[in-house]
Amino acid sequence: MNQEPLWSIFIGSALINNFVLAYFLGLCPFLGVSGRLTTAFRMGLAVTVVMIIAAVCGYGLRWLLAVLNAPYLSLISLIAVIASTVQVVEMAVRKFSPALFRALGIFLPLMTTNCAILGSVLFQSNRGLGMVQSLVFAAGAGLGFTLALVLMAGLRERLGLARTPDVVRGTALTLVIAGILSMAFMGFSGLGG
Amino acid sequence: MSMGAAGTQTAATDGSAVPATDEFLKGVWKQNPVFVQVLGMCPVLAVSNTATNALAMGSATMAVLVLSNLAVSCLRQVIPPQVRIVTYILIIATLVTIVDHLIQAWSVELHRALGAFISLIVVNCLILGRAEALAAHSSPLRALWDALGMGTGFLLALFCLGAVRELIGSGSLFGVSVLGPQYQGWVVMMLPPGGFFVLAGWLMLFSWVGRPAHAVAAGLPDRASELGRKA
Amino acid sequence: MSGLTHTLLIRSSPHIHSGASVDRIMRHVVFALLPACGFAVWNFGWSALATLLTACLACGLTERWLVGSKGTFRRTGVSVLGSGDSSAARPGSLGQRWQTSRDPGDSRLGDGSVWVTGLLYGMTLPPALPLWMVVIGGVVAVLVGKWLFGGLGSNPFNPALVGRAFLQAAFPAAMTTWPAPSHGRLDGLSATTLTWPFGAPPAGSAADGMTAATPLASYQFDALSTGTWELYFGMTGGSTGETSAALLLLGGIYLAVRRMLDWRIPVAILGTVAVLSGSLHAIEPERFPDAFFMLGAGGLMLGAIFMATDMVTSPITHAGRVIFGILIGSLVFVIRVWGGMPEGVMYAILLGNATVPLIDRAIQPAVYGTRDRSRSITGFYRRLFGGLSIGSRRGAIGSVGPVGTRAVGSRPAPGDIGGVSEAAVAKPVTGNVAARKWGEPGSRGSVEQEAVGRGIGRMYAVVLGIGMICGVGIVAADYWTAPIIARQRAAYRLRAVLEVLPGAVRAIPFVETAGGKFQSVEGVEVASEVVFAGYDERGDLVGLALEAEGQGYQDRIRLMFGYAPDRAVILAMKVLASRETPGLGDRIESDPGFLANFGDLDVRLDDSGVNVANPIEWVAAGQRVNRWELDGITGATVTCRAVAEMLRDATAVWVPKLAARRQDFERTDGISGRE
Repeated sequence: MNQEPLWSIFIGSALINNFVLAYFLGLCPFLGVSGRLTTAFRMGLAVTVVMIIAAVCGYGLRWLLAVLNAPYLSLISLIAVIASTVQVVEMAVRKFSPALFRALGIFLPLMTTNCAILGSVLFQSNRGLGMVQSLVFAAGAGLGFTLALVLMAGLRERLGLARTPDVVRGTALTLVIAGILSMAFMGFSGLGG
Repeated sequence: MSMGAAGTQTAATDGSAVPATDEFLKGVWKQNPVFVQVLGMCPVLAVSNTATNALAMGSATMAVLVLSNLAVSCLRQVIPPQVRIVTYILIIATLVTIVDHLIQAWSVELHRALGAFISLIVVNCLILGRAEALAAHSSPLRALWDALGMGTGFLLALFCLGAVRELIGSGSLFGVSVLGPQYQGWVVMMLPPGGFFVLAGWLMLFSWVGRPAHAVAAGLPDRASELGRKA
Repeated sequence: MSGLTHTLLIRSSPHIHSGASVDRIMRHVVFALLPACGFAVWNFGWSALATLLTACLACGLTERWLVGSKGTFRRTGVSVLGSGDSSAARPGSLGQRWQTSRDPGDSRLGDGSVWVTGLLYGMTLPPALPLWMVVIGGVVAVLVGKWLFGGLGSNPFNPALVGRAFLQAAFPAAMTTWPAPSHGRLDGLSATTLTWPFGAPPAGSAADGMTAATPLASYQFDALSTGTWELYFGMTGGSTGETSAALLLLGGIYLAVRRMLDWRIPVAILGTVAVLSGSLHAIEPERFPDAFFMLGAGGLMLGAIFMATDMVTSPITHAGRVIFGILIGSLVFVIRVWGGMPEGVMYAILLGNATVPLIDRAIQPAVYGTRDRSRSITGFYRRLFGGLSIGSRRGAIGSVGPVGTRAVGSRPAPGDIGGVSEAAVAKPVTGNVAARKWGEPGSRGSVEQEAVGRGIGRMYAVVLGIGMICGVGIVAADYWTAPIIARQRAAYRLRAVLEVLPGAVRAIPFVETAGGKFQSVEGVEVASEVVFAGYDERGDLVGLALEAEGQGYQDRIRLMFGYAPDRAVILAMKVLASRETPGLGDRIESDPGFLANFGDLDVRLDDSGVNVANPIEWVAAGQRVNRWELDGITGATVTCRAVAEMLRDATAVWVPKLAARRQDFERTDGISGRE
């Protein structure tokens, strides 16, 4: 069992090894929905929620597969679990808060193919995190994802007014900003140690 | 961003009699999954820090892509449309698990270097995208050519990134020193920011050199593609 | 300090003209910086001057090249360059392709902002940095930091700091090599300055005593404080222009008095740092440096006064600027005190820059005379969280329409996932394609509806069948590869074990039994806590190999080390897994000096036999005196210290146990002669 302290796990997954800026996980939504601040923020929160739920399910699944001694089934069952988690979250949101459901729109179902979520569960199992540790890891990863997404959305909204050269329009510009953000996030290195 | 090229994709998929070479070449160049369509970014950036890793990752992705396209195309009459995505994911996850095992059996070091990113091939938008956009309603042969083309394009793109990053980052290629022992490596190229910058550089190069003429002529402004993304 | 005109151009009204032009402000900023620059030359010698001049020239020439390459737009009548120049770009040249699309030809060299960028950039560099690196950083600063974003007035990040951050990430060793101040002895250029382009700076410059740690570095790594007088007048090591806190402060006051700089930002930054360090120092003086030290050391003055105040990259409103300052101040404090790096001003300001659009959005001044709630702060948060404004997204939801509606149906599982993920796939496949594809779902839609009516049962059957086939495929693959994988893994581990136990040709895994004894588990699969015993050709015990794990600079490090019980030393170390910085932290795997530590690293037990007599300690490179000390690698302090701590903890646990049960591992019959 991994003995890492919780705060170190949290800072590690949120800032030092930010999912987008250090692991490149979840780049599709990062490039795709970082155009507007409000949607970016909601997307980030939705991802965080799903990540936390998936962490719990993933932990249960790990335990189950260990009991069954069938580690080779982990990937296929994880992806199934994530797909159903997304489904359940979507139905729950639709039932309890139709307004939020409409606001999130297409971004909820998008999450099945979000590699940040699968990545977060895979990392938890690779590092042998316990239940609480997995939860903290997922929360940190989700909030770090949200932070990166929101920062990027703010910058992109502002650059909507800028006279950027043609060749850097669109994805290339987003990637340049991501690169600079990634360099800035390197400042957090070593915070856990 | 050349959405113009991506636009032609729909036209191409609708046409039935496309020569195999065209089917192959469009994935390599005109609709290159990385440089033109900007798909499957996560492995592209994460494991392209050396040319070796990039080639290994590219080959693994290509293998899964070819097999999944073939499987989906063969089963296209059988799979009920409502559950096709679930089925695709099942197929892809199976293939990825098998590829993962094969890589482990081949070299533990390589498996360590690629880490969790092999498993993440499952959620590579490129593979699911090709299954859905083409293989689901094409003959196995066409799906095969398409997968080979897209896979090669992906592999080449990864190699372009990996080679630049390794060459500038440590002055070597495939671990063999190229620029001499005195060369001072740019560590940043091996780090995440370098991945972002090099990919941005390639995209700029592509949109500067390879901007399809019809996109300019049709006045497809980049804003539109951005809005398309947002919508 | 740049872009006042553009700032006003893209912001909302009112457009008040204060009489200050960009040109004039830039001139005064240069005046304010000159004393500190002059002091830098006095303090560090000609290398500092060369660095500053090269930095300015690199930035200036890059800007000139970029502006020149946009020259095709001269025909719009906009004079691009201040004075007539001959670098008009030819039609079809680089310039025409790299045109800006909206308001072309609007970047200027004449406003002088690029010289300020260059000067500030030069001031943040170590004085003896190889000049070719200075040039590269300068090009990055202007090209990536400013021009890619559309030039002055649009750049979200401080260009000088973008250039510096790039260098810091690219050449971490060179960027943390600080020459000792020469205090007015203006002898020749230092050896590293004139390094051949793209070549590594001459090695050994660290060892010849010509370097000095910065005050922050010596505080963090050696717990040494620096005298206040030296600190404030800058008689210390450090970046070219950052050492003299007092002169920088004077320059800042000059600018603030002339109203060319908003005092709120530096005051907020410095105040935050002072309050945080002051209060924590009062609580725990041993752990936290005092406020005077924190304010005067490192690049805080330079950053707070001249970099964070950049008008383009700081918030518009006064309140926003105070928040911005507090944020940067806190980040500086956190990174300096708890981070892995001694200095964090650069990162703090870049992170602050990234939050500026958010701050500006959150603190939007209400338009005079209106009470538009959506523009107020509460409105901002309401929009962020609740947001019922879905009209603009109707298109997106519409496109999910046929599928989505069906998904509401009572039958949740497979149909829904299918329908939902359809949208999921459509999205990542770049908006445009998706929109077109799903724009014509007619045929597919009708097919689906038919299918829904007909074959729910068939649907389940097919999914189940394919699932079964997949499961069988996976199991078969696992069955076939499992033995090969196990063999590969064992070989890999054996290689690692033999590498850390020089002379061994054979290794046997042992586990600790409940009784504290060690038992051979050869051929048995075990999960954890394994000790490997290595034997030489004659079957004699060479040593024991153990794994250790700990937090490194980036992530957890796992390593294996060999322990020889008879000599009570550590024989060798091999890194099994690490994500340390390439070229810096990962040198623990390759640096000959570091690896030479092992071989006779002392882990003797004390007289009681339950403690290691001298716990392994980390010392700076070249400082090893005792056999239990671990020589560090210059520039990789954190990683080396982590390795030392991991070894110390692992040996404290294992060495007493293993030494006591040494007989468990001694050669047994049947071992010798094999392999």
